[in-house]
Amino acid sequence: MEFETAGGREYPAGTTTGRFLVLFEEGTAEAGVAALSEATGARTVTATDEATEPEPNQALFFESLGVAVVDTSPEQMQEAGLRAAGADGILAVEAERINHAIEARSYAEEGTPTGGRSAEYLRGFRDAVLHLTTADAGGLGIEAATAAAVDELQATWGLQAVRAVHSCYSGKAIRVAVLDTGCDLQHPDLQGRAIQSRSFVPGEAVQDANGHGTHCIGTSMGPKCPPGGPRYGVAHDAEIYAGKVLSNAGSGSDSQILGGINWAVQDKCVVISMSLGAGTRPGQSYSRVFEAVAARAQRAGTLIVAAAGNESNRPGEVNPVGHPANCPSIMAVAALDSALGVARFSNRGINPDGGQVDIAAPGVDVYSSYPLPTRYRRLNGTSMATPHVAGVAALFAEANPGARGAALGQLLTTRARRLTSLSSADVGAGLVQAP
Amino acid sequence: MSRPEPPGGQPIEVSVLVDGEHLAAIEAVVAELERTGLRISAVMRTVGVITGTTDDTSRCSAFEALEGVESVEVARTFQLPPPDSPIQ
Repeated sequence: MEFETAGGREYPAGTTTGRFLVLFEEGTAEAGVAALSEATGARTVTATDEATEPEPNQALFFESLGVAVVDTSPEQMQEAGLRAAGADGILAVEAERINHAIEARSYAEEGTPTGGRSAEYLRGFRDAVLHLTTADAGGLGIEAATAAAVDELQATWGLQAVRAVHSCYSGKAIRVAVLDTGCDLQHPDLQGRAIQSRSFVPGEAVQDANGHGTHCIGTSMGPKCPPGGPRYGVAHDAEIYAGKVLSNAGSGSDSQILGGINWAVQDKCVVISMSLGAGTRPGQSYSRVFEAVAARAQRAGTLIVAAAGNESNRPGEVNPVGHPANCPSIMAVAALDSALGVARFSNRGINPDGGQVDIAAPGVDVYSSYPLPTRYRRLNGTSMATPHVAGVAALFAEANPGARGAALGQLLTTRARRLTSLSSADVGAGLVQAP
Repeated sequence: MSRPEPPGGQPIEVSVLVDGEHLAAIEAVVAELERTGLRISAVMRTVGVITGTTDDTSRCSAFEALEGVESVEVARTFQLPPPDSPIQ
């Protein structure tokens, strides 16, 4: 198979337009535009009603989207893309892709005037913008995704829904810490993986006698080809940091969790996944200690994602996002079922000041690794959704070496698949999507 | 914020956030906290947190008044559902 490359990424031949897309960091687009011009030699022009398509050797900047489309020769593309990807203000660079799923629906059918622009261009651009800003999942076919979810022979429904199975990234060289009940270090699926581990539970070793931690590590970083079962792990080549902050009985305290965060930040983990929480009441604010710690972690290059919590019983009872996911600098993850509905137990963004749900991920009927002799188990919970997000964050981190901390979180939300039939109070930016 | 009363007689775990200006001089904050009655459990230099125990929640306001201390919280506890629970 032939591949086209941009920003270090390979695409099957015939699936890209030959142009590439640049996503700028919010607020620093100006610096990003300057860096782009320098890296590519392309002249940057702001998109207007008249200027809707880049001319050769031109970068067309769509201000409202924070995206530029660049038309340059294929030879220049890879090198320029790589250089631009590391520059200040630039979050991501990738080839403009043609999305066949929505190709059949023309703009004319939807009543959008085409104004003489080439249909091919409009299609390509819409696909690209949909991909980068992921406007509406409706056009991508929720039914198709649901139908596909039933077949788990090759990969779990969750990995299919977050599109990890289609990603060319693996999380290679990205350190991901899972702060939980530890890890079954003897699990056959993890043999041969480099695992760093530490216990913050007095008197207990890292070895997971609970099961929760091993399940979460499996979802975030399980192998690409587990023997005799479907793939269930997102970032299959990420470096595993297993921090035991909850005992084998499933209990822990703030001190143990803070100890785990300190360890992961010190060891330069790019992502910390925390499938834990304590319930909060409506009106309750967030922890000042955890918020400052999460903000310091972000500045040091570590993004923390945490479970929104399972205290709800929908439709009758919805409860607010728990601690510490309710901190503004921690991403709160809600749970979805395979029909992409909100899981009945998943908490809602009710409290102000960071108490919102930021993003959603598969959290019902999630198959993953479990300590021997059980080996695999299906579980439900925002605990299961969280490591999906952590794994996808590792893929984005590998693809975008410049995006760390808050910028990495921003990539996750801007690239999430919008779920327009659901409330953002329940699912935040939508379903997390792998790059 | 409210500080829950501990179960009788148990030492109370607290988390102390060191302010941004005192991160480089965290040892001095540790010494002051010890002098004020905190039994130090861990000094987390990377994130700027000191954890410890005290027998009396009323000491928290004394810890919070120390130079270099931004806030003090009584540690919350977490409990996962039993492993056989379908929702985790």
